[in-house]
Amino acid sequence: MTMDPERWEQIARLHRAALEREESQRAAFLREACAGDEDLRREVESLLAYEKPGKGFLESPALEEAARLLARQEEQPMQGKTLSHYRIQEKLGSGGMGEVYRATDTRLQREVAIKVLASGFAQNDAWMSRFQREARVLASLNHPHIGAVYGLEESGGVRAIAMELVEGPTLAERMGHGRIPIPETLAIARQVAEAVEYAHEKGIVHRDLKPANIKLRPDGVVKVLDFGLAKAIETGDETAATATNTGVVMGTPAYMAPEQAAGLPVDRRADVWAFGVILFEMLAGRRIYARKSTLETLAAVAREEPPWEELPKETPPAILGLLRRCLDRDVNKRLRDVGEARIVIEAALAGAPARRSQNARSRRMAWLVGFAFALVAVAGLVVWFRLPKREENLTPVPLVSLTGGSKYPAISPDGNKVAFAYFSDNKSGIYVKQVEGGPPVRLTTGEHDWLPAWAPDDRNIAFFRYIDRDHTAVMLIPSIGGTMTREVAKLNVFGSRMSWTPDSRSLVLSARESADGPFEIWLLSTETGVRRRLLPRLESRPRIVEYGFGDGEASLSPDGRMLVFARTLSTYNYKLYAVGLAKDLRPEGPARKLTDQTFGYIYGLDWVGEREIVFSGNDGLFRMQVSGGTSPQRLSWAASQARRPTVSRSRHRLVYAHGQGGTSLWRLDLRTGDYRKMIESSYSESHPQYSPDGRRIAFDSDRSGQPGCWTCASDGENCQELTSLGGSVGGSPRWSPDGRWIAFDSRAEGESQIYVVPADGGGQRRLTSGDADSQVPSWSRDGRWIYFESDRSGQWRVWKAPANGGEAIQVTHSQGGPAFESTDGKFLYFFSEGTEGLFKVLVDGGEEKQVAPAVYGLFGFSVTTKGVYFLSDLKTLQLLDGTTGQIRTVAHLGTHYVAAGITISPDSAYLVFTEVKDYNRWDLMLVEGFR
Amino acid sequence: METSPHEITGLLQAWSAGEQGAFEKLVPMVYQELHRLAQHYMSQERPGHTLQATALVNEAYLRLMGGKPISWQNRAHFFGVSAQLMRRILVDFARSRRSVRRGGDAPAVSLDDALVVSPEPGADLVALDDALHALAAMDARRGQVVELRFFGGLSVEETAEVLKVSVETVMHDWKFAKAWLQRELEAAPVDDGS
Repeated sequence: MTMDPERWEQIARLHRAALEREESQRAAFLREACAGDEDLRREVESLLAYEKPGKGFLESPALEEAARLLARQEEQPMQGKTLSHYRIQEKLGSGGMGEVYRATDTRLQREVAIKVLASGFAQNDAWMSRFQREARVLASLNHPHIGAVYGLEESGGVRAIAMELVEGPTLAERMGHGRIPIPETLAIARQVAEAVEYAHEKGIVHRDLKPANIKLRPDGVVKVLDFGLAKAIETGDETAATATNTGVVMGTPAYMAPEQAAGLPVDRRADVWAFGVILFEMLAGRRIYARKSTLETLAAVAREEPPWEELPKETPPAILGLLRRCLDRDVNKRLRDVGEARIVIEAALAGAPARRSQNARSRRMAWLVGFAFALVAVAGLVVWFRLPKREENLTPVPLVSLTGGSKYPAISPDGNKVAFAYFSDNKSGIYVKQVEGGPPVRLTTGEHDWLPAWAPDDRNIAFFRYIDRDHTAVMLIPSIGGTMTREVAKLNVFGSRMSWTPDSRSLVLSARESADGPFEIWLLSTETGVRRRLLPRLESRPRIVEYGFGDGEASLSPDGRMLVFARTLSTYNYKLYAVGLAKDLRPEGPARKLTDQTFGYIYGLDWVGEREIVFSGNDGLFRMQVSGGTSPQRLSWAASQARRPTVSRSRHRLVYAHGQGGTSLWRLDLRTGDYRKMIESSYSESHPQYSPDGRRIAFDSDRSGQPGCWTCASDGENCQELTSLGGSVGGSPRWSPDGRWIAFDSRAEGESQIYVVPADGGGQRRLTSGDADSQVPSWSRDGRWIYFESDRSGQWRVWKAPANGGEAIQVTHSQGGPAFESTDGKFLYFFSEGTEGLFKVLVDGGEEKQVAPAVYGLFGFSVTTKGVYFLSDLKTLQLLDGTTGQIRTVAHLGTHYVAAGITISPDSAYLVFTEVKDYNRWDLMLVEGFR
Repeated sequence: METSPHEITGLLQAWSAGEQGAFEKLVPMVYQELHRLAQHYMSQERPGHTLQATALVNEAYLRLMGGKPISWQNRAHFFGVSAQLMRRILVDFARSRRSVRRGGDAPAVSLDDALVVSPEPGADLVALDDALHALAAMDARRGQVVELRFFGGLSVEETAEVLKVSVETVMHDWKFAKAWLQRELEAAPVDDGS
């Protein structure tokens, strides 16, 4: 088709001009512009018809179109077909060159692997003939640690390489599970070195040595695959050992030697470099030069030193020296002979205690070796003992300090960025902050997004998107942002951290299948949305399930071989458990409790190393060895409001959320209406209670860094700690009528129990026992009984036990909650957990009668001679007259509101209450040098 | 296996200087990228993971032609050669695939069928190549815009830089050329597989 160039340009011009106009005006415009030239008008109109919105014609590049075409065609499986004398069975994997199948050699009756060359290679004849020649050289390699090449096969247009079938995972897969123990590393490295040494002697350079090309057979034999294939693909007409003139090199950037990456000629020393990288990675437990893109990877290879500090401290010095020689950037200074590497490794292996021989000289050697080990152990202990000291010097500095709540931080794999949920105006979104500076950048567009988890491969961030009480979507967003947010699944989740598997393909998280069922830990594939239980079904079940129970805070170790999680079978009573996992993430045996200590809630945990965790309880941050035997160590530099730790192991950074909220204790003079702030605190000062003489106030507080019971003078001065709650939640101290004793509750021993302690300090004794919760005590006016609420009957009811100890007796039957006797000791007033109303019953039992419609909160009432003062809402104090039974409003609290308990002075003159401030303010804190 | 961009630059240079051997070395590299992408599409179990696919395609282009053309006289030349190379290899590939398909049992799929079958409209690369030849014969610049954008994977801005015209011109050239090519392809007799 040809056209007059002028006419052509005219059409193009009109097309452009029409497109610049509104669609509705185009027809009129063209009619006028074409001035009766109907052919011209039709021509432009017909082209305009292709102007459609959205993705369409030619919008994806040709390479992508071709790849789709290929994908559609390659779906047709090879299975069951016969290639020459090979019967092809299942697919084993695929790579750049083509796909690998298991096949049966029908002549020799043996199993082989068949690499079917992608048609791109197979259909290029000139290239194939060169490849054929090269393949013959490869077939001449015959070594126990080299996967044998049997030959090149051709049949019906399909070309394939027949190779030795090696069962077992590749080293890359094994390394996906993290650091490999040193003896195993050395055993693998020795065999790889042997294979490479043999090939080099034959004049063959591997040129693409990498973990994916190394197979680990279950019997411990290691086989190196694809020897010389890189060379064979690229050029077949030169012998493998010489460099190419064009400088064309194929290889895997992350394992390329610097000179290889620069496109310079390579020789066997490129294999030495790759060998060094692989050995390093096995010891360090991660890939050292892999970056997000090829260019970045090449830049890293060209410039960056390996992260020497990541090698385990136990790495034998000889191996360290070997690594330095293998990884010398200057090819002329690099180790020339991989045989030398083999010798060093063999010596290191022989030095291990397991291989000591029995003659006298060796025994002396062994003793020396043992002594050396002991020295190392002592050095280790010294380091261990000095650890807390060193940590005292760590200083948290604010990283994100905004007016809302910056919570749930998740640090990126490179340690340079932190994703977090920012809460403001009852909405939340995921933001990312660069550690080095700059403002946080919003990543997600949802209104209720929270709990981000950064994938180890740095590609995606998973997060929760709240839908309603029973539904939360698990979402994925690329860590670089963008609009491609994707929903993986909808679940009923526990608001606890998600953990990625090391391969970045699945999430480990806690969810329940029904509203009254247990929270369980699931493995959720982010690719398919399919999930399976990670642990056996939880059989035990608490009596009361309203707050949720089961397993949460699932956290996989970096190598994916251990899961630590928090299990709760009763309220506020989380225990840490660990379970070892097989490679397929199935548990190896039952979960074991890491410590009997309880931390109230567990608010997030992360791994410091392969076998050590940091976590937050009710009371700040702790670290603990997962191997057991040591108790958790509280990190003294972190405030008790520190939550949700996240660790960058490579950058030795710790980030956590720090609650800025605090409480203040106020006193309102009920006669004058004057307010006075008695205590202002960044801690939680709650549940105040006047002493019977009105001169002191007991309350619970975490001001020491640990929750405990305290007393102070009635003006808020002279605070003294009475007793610690051992890291658990609890408190609600109540005075005995003579003012000499204080009863309180604590979960220090698991379930909440009632304890009694002298009011001026001293040893405590436990009043209640059993596996039910007993909480919020109060004394009878004659001092003989202590009332408390307990769920031992399966529902919250009022019980009482003799103050000096003895069997508890159930007091109420239809309702239950915290209780106080009337001052004359005749009636019991109690709060109903069920109806939230106030009830009254004779102390000897009888009808339980509702006397006030609603009381705000468990701790929202106080009894004096005048009757029962109670909060009818956050701001209104009312009095139920003890004589008349009438209710009247006593005070409006104006701008104040009560959060955690009230008490009225015995003379009914004062109200003391706890107000919470900045409850929603959370900042992110950064700690450098955390290791 | 992956290839460093430096070597590809050298090969492209050799190819543009008329060295046929360089082309044969480049073909497997492009095929490798094709296979890598195809693997990705096959492993997708649900549609809609387009962001990752786009990233992969971008990375593939980067690998194949993103090397800094240090020793090239100018970037335009380099990108022009790269896009030509991609066009030639990909169209050859599509041609060989078409013959394979016709030889088998699968019926030929017309462009319209492909529109229904594939989630995103596909293009018959061979027919497109023919139409593009016709376009370039009349209008070299718009032909180059399509070659650089579609085969070379360049953005509008990059294309403008290479052709030394404004971004607006490239945008309109691109729209106009696409409309024309699309009309041309629809007008072509239906491919009956003979």
